[in-house]
Amino acid sequence: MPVSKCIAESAKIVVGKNREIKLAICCLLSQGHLLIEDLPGVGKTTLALTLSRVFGLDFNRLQFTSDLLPADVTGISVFDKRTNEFTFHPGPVFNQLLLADEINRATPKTQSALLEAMEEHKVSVDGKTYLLPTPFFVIATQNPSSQVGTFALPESQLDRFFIRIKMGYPDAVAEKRLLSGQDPRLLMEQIKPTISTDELLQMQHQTAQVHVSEAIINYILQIVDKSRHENAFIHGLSPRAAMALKRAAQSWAFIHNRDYVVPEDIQAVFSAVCEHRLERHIEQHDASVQQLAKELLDSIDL
Amino acid sequence: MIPSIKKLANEPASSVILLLMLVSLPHFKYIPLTSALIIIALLCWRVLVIFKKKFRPAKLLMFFFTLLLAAIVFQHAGSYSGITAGSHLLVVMSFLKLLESTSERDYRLLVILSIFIIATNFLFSQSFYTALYMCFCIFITLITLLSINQKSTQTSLTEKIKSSLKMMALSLPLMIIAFVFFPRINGQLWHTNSQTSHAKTGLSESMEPGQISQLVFSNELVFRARFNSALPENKQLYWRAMTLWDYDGKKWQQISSGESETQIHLLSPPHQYTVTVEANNNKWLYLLDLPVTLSQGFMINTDFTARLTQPARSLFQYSASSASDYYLSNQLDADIRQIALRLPGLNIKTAELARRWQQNSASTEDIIKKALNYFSQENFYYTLSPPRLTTVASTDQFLFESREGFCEHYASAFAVLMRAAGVPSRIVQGYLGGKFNPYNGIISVDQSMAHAWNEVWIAHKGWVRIDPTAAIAPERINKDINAALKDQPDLPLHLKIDFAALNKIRQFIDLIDNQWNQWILNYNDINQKKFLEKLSRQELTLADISQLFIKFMLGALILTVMFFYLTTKRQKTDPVTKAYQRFLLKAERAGLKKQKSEGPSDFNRRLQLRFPHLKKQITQIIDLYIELKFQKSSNASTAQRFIRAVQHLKIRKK
Repeated sequence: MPVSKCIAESAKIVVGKNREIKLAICCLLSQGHLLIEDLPGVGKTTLALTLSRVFGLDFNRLQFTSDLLPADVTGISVFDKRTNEFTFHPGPVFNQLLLADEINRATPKTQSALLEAMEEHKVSVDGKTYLLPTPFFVIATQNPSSQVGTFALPESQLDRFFIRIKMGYPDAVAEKRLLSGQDPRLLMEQIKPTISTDELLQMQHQTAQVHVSEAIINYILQIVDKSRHENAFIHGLSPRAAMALKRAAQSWAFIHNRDYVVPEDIQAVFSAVCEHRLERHIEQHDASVQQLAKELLDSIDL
Repeated sequence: MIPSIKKLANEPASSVILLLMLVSLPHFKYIPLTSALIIIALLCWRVLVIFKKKFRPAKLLMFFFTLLLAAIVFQHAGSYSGITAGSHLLVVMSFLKLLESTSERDYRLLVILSIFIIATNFLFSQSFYTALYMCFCIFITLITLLSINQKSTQTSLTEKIKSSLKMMALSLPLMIIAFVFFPRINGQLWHTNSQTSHAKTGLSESMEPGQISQLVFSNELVFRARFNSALPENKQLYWRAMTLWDYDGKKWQQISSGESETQIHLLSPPHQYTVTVEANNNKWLYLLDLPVTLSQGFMINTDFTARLTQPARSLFQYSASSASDYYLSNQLDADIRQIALRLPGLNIKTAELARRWQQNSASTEDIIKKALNYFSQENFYYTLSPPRLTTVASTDQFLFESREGFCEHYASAFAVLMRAAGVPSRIVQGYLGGKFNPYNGIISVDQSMAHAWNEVWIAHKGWVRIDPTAAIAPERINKDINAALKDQPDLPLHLKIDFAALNKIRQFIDLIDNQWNQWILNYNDINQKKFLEKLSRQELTLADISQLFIKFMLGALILTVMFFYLTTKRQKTDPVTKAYQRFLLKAERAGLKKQKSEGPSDFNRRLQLRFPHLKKQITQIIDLYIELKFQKSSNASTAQRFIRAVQHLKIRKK
């Protein structure tokens, strides 16, 4: 299975983060965009780089700062003296894999420019529309919003990210391997693409064909319905979230070599797909969103 | 203090204690003081047990208590049969059961006992207020039952109240059908006549001084009357119950012999009215002076009274007509005349006075006038608490010494005077007056309106009503007893209070009570037959009514079941899900319960660990289930295989 190979290959560099790798690949296969939220230095960039290598994608990294302008993301038209015309200079967004580092340090205007491109798969500059390459995959990283000099993404924009993962510290065994082994950056140089772009596109198509039975649809409906009627959250899950849950579960099943979704797939992707789309109610002061989401899932009969 | 209250509120026993107290509250009126005190002690003890478990009574002690309470009941009633003894035993034993109750099963039993106690309350009283209170008790019973049964689910009180009300509302149609159609049989339910605690109040069969004035202290309702024609004036509202003839110097009694028939010549159309008599254990019918006709099943005696063959233990009704403007024509039989003149000959001074009047008078009317003048002009007083007449010549003592008396004193003295003067006379006992309720136009008569007056025989006129009380206290006749007694210091409270607002409330309560009597209590075998025949437009026998009852009851039950069947959301469980549930049950019995949100594969993993010897079978079942539920292609034979596999699976604990 090509996917398993990709996972195995990535795991060589991003040590001890199998689940995060799988979720990132799941996101890629579902044609969604990934948000990684954690402290600096836990391997966010490494993961992004690894993925670009393994899947053979054009890669560009864009460090978001507070003085970054929308044109710095999308590109700019420049007047060419020789041709007496404006020529478009594509921005970093015109890459198959864009790592938008520390997205919450840019101003909302710049953030919106990226998010719009993510949503529309195209960029309009000076009245002209430019299509983005396929596949187009954005990995945005975000520092915890409690850090200084950040513009937290509003919920409506968080919803644009298909999956959000948190890296977390590696466990002791993994960290030991990390310290005793070679520098991951050097290791990365040696990695050859495991699959071609065509194969990736084909896999993206295949995951969409994974069978979702009526029982699973009902299960998703129950989850969504409960989130809307539970007092724990300010808003329930949107239909977009429900569709994302289904799509992610399909990719998850595909990664696990199945052509049908089982409830465990839903449960596996639920927190990554849904937690960032939920906001806990102010009254639920003693429980985190994670806890509340888990309670929600646990309360539904199977 | 607060934590102990909290503990009390959380204790499941508290609601049962409260319930039992509520339902048996009306019984405290009928049980002796000893039992009441024991019950209170048992209650206190039970509350103590909530806080300190070690005070739980020992088995032997309970046995001893059982014997003790049984003995107290027997000692009080003399037997265990009969309503009083039976309900007494039920109540005390229920409280004893409460003392030893600790488990859910015990509490359920007590709830059932409470329902039974609620039913027994109706053996003592069937008034509207009893029914209202019992409805409230049933409501509390349902809440208690819900809290016992839903202990684990933690439903809020509001939800319990809601579902109790819903249950009561749902049973309402059945209740109405049972009320309307349940075949009513002429006769008493069980042998209720053995009840002894219900002492009768009201007029007695004879009259002695002091008897009627005692009745003034009771405001118990005697009967209600509805006039079809115009309402007579208050001074015409003489309701006769009985006539008294025989005087032994102290007591006036009835006689058994009758007179010859009397012809009534009406001068104006008679008043038409219907009387509803409360269940008061008396035999009297109360007829307005002077009855002309009486509804079927009753007979007017020659002295214009009527009576039942059995004391009235339930409400009864009759309609009658009475004349206020009439003259009579008949002869006084010689033997009757002799009885009407008979005196014990003890009151010599009275006889002398009467004889003087007789000699100085030209006619009977003249004698009567002299007597009435004597009462009104001499220093006679109308009082509720006259001095006791101690001598044998009690009339002499009254007329010449004490001169204070109530209606029975004056009626008695007047009769003695008349007889001594050679005028045949008798005493009539009954009620005078009636409270008019403007809301429903009904007159109600209570015990405080008890009265005694005289009738004298005047040639060519027959028996003529003379009320000597009118000569002393005309307000009694023209207005009511309150007016006549307003200066009395020891007037009973219910006569003293006379505010307009309070009277309105009284009248309103009276209205409800009357409706209850007319529509609910009065719905006896005859009225049921009448009503159902009117409804079905054909003659009905008791068997027909029974059939109707069964048909309607079945119909209502079917409708209720259908209503539930149609309104409750049922989850369609397909055979695969059913089989999976059976599989889960088998696993649970073997000791491994699936988590609520656990998927089949996750559960499989745990099953493998727990029952490694069944790995193949369990994996096959789970795989088939996943195939059926989540995979694209599955067919009927897969389902069959799955169901069979579940059937064959036997999980044994290792």
